[in-house]
Amino acid sequence: MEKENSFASRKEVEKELQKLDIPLLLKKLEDYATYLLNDHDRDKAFDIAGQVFDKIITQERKWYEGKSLKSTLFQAAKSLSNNENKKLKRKRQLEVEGIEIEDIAAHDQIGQFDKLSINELKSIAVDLLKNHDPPPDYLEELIFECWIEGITKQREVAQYLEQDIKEVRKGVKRLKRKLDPIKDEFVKMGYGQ
Amino acid sequence: MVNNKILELIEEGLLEYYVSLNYSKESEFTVAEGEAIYGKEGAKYTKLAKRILFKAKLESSKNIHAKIISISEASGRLELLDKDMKGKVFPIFKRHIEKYGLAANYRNFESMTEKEMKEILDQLNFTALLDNIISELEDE
Repeated sequence: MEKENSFASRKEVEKELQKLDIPLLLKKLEDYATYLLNDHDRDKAFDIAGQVFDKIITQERKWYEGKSLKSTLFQAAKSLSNNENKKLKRKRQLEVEGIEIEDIAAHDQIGQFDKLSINELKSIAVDLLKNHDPPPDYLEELIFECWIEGITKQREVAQYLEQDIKEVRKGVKRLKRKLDPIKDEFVKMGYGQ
Repeated sequence: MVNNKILELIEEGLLEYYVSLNYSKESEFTVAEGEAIYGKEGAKYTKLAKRILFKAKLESSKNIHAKIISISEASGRLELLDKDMKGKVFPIFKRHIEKYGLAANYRNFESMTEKEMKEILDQLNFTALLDNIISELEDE
């Protein structure tokens, strides 16, 4: 019978972790979670980075053979951050419960932005990036536009823009510092978790 | 329904970026990155990393214990079976060897007599087997 969805043993996980620079991974997982969390709470993001490893080590989150461990770790950080956002959203809903005016205003606002087309939303996102202080450079803008057009893989972005992949990576490194305000605006408009 | 497409694509782009980075121990940092992770301010990362590796080792050794229990149990069951089903262990052993493609491990398996098979079974020393498993796993 063909072996399907087999996942790595605890020993294999340990062996793979020994090869990796865990402090660097923790830092990058923390950076990623900080962006994903709607409140951008760095302490919470650091906890998430630690939890990600706990889940992999105890096999609560499986690392399947043939998949990259780092990709599994970052996916896990995404799930945990989304759960935190849901908790935060619920907490805020409970806090405003009973304040009818705010509820109605927030509801109306979401309804209003929900009517925007995907192209209008793309245009809002690009404008938000362009208005960032400090402003993005040309490459950052192009990378961002690739992403919102659905070209998100580093290699594909590099090919599309006819740029060296290392330059694209450097561009993303600068770009990622400018993404929090865009996310915040979209969350305010009622998008996101 | 609220359309989250834009945020999802940005998250995807960031994910691709983070996953594309080199996290092997030989990776090279910029000075700023190195300071952020390994400098005074970054001690929290190295501290947590040590805890993670320790926990991984601990969990991994728990797995070794699980294997020991499992083989010990198997050994006990084999003894019981041998008492109850005298003479039937040989064909089962033969089927097991064939099923898992282990025949090549035994010279002239096809022409091996029942007596020779039983000798192999008798010689199976579970204590030695466990010792081998543990030492091999420790070497990895």
